[in-house]
Amino acid sequence: MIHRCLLLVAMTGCASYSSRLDATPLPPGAGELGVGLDVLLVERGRDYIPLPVPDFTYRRGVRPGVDVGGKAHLTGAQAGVRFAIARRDRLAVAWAADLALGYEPITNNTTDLVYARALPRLVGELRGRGGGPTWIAAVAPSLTFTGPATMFRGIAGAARFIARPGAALGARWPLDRGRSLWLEVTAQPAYAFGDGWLRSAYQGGAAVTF
Amino acid sequence: MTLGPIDASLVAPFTDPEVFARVCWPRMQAAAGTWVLLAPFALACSIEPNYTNPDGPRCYGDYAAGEPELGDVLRAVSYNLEFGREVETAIAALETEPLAGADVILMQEMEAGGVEAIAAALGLRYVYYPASVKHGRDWGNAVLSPWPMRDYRKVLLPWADPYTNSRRIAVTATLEIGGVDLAVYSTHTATPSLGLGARLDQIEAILDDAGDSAPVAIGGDLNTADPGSGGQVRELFGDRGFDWASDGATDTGSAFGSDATLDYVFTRGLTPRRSGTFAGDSGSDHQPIWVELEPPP
Repeated sequence: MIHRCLLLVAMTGCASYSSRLDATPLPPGAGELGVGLDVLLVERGRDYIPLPVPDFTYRRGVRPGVDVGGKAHLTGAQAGVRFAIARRDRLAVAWAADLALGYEPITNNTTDLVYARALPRLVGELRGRGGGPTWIAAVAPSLTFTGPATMFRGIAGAARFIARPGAALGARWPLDRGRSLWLEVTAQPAYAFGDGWLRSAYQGGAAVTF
Repeated sequence: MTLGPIDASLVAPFTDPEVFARVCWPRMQAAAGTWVLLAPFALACSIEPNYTNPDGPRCYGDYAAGEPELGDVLRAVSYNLEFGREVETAIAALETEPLAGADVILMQEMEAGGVEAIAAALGLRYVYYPASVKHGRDWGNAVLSPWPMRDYRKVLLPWADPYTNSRRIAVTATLEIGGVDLAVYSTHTATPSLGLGARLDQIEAILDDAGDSAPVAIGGDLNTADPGSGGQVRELFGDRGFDWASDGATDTGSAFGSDATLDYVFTRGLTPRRSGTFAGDSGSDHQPIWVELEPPP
């Protein structure tokens, strides 16, 4: 039973593709902590498998229109910066760039154990009226360099770049005491340079920020 | 017993962003930095040399005394003898019912000396190819049989282990059984440290090598230790017209603390009768499995 629990914990260490960003950076000095639980749908063997992905986020405003933050899950973390680009009435647009590093102890399909991922994102939001939800859409592509652990011993033949022209849709509901409830789904098609298209990954879940 | 109110200072780092930023965030950053720096060393497992020449090294020997009589059943055995260590125990097991008198024995994790010792003790022909070197010892697969053997080859399987770079192989041979050619494969696919998709690619490489031939038997340790992998492996063989001949041989090893079915024999063009798992001392972390088949027509 203990071994199976450990296996389950290890399986939650897969990559996380959630964005959980709107287009409004936090004001200077403000902080926001988040706890989320997603379901990641990825190819395993010739089928899809759902995996739980708990993650934790933190952001902090550093300048007007600029905040920094990151996300951590069991075996990976990412950090980045978000810039407000434009705001007009209820509409806002922001640009964010993150760098993610991670290690997947149990890879689903091949030898992609270790990864570094660059994530530029363009986020748009439509703020809700009178306590209504803020609707969020994000273009969330990424470029990943990934490969086996043997890369660290100079054997990198299986290492590769994977481009994911991903996108995300979400909503943020204001709760009491400054908290928010987030719902988000994301689709991540994947193209491996040299290997062609891979099956897409999908992720969706909920989070609370406070 | 009643519990008093929770001390606010204990939960403040998790509920107050200011406290979190001052106390937890710097520590998380330090931990992440340490992890990034140490990960390459933690991940750098020892690299295992591979035998990637498709022609060898190869060991073949013939200890058979003539050609046996064809019985009313054809018996196949698959036996993963852990690191080829307890050869004497393996010989005793292979002399014990229901393994005794097997027409074909597919062995994994073997060294050449151990295979030859078994063949000599049981009066068999054999072919052996090592796949790689583990812990300073050759590590490979063998086919043993009392029947005439030809066309033996090594099939290099795709993908290398992402931690050790070790490669896997299948050893194939054609057995002449009662005037009928039977193609057999002894294989040992990668452990779950290699993704399931890559392990299925390894099986597909064997299936592609077998083509449309029949009768054919493919057996060995397929390392279906992770949840769901056994079903996908059986489905893949089924899609290519193979029967799970060893469906009565379950719990052949252990995985994640539980009994698991890791070893298989699949056949095409042969009619399986019954199968099972050897219950005696195997001298291994696997139990050998046996399959009874209708003799080739």
